[in-house]
Amino acid sequence: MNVCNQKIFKELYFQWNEPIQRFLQSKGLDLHKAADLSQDVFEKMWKNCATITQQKAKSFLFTAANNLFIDDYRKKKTVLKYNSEFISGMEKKDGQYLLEMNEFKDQMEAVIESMTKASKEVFMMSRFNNMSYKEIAQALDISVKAVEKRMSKALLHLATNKIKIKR
Amino acid sequence: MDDQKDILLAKWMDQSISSEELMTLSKDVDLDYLDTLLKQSKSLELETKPAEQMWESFNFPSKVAEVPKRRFINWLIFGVIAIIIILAFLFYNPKKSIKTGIKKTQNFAFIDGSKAYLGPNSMISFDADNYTDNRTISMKGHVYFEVEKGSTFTVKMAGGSVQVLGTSFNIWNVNDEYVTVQCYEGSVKVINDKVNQEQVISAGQAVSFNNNELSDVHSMSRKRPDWMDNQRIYNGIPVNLFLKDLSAYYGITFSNGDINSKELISGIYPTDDIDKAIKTIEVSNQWKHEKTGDKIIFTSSD
Repeated sequence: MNVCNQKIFKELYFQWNEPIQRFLQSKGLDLHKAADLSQDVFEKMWKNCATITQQKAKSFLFTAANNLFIDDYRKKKTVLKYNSEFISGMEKKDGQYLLEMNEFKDQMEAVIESMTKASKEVFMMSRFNNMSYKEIAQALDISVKAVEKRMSKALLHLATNKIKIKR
Repeated sequence: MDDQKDILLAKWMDQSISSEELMTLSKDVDLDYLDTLLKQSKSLELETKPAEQMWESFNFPSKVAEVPKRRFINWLIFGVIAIIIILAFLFYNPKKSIKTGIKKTQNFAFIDGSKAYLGPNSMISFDADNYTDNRTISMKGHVYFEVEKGSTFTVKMAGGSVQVLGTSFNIWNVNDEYVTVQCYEGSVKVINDKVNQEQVISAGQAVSFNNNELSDVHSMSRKRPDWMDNQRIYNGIPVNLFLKDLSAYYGITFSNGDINSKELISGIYPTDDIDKAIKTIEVSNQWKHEKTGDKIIFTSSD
């Protein structure tokens, strides 16, 4: 079954559009560029829908995102936000807590920013896009071992460039 | 960290680390800190545009025509093509040749159902009268073949030849010194005439002649040639050959200003979007470009 059926296509769109955006942000694009490119990726899938089966759709999307991605020279700042679960829990907390969390967020962005590009993208895909090492390896067309190496470098970087955390 | 140790942290995070490895790791790294940090970072996420909102502005582009599967209707089409070819041969020179110009690609079906897909600036020719008895094709440029089972199918090109029984493979023949053969199905025998070397490669493998020497066999994961998916992948090719090859897809002359022609290029470049192609060339090689008429000259950016 290929993905030319509009209902199937729409399901895939809703399932994978935002993960693809996060994938592209991990590679260094800002919110808007990532959204635009993710739209291109889905257009490409529709154009070629006759040759793509439902099972292959996910790997097609990530591979296409990886191939369409063009390294932008300007360095993008990593931008994180609080998730809704955290925000809803925030009402019960005092202002001091909020300040400390804001500081944590800024420092976290900065320490991610100071990683090498290869480590940063793997770390962000794993941490903020819930991708397994195998999924990252397939999307970037590298070996799982290489992903593990980059991930370990990223974690070592975090462990040696300590920021203030609440114990 | 040494080779064994440099993936331990990834295994730790994945919870696939052994207790012995954990002992080693905890001596070097403050795992308590890292654990707390990662837990705390769970409150953070990447912002995205909601899919609902994106969907509203999604425009369905027109689909690329479906790749024909081997069904009755396709046999019928091949039959018709074959009849046309036979009729054509009755009136024309039996030496049949197919050529493509700049920016053009063409598909060709042989009488036995074998197919050739020609990239831009490419050519195949063969003796149509004797094709059934002697499946020998001459080629130049960039051609992907899908060969039906039967007698030996031979492709001759400058510098060598390729022999197969029934399979799919891609040949990129720049000149007699640079030839790349990629095999997608079955196996093929690659012959280098100049040094009289032979190499058999099977599905998922590729081999190149480079300055009259057969390279080591390397593996690849693609299921069909890059150029059929609107991109070109290069792995260490001199600048002048790289620019010449990519020019053929756009009909624009690319040339190298102050850049040494022998410098080697690797990377992936689109063949259907000139702006992206130029940008990719600039960024990955740190060049800049200048446009004069229908010519684009690349120079080093410093």
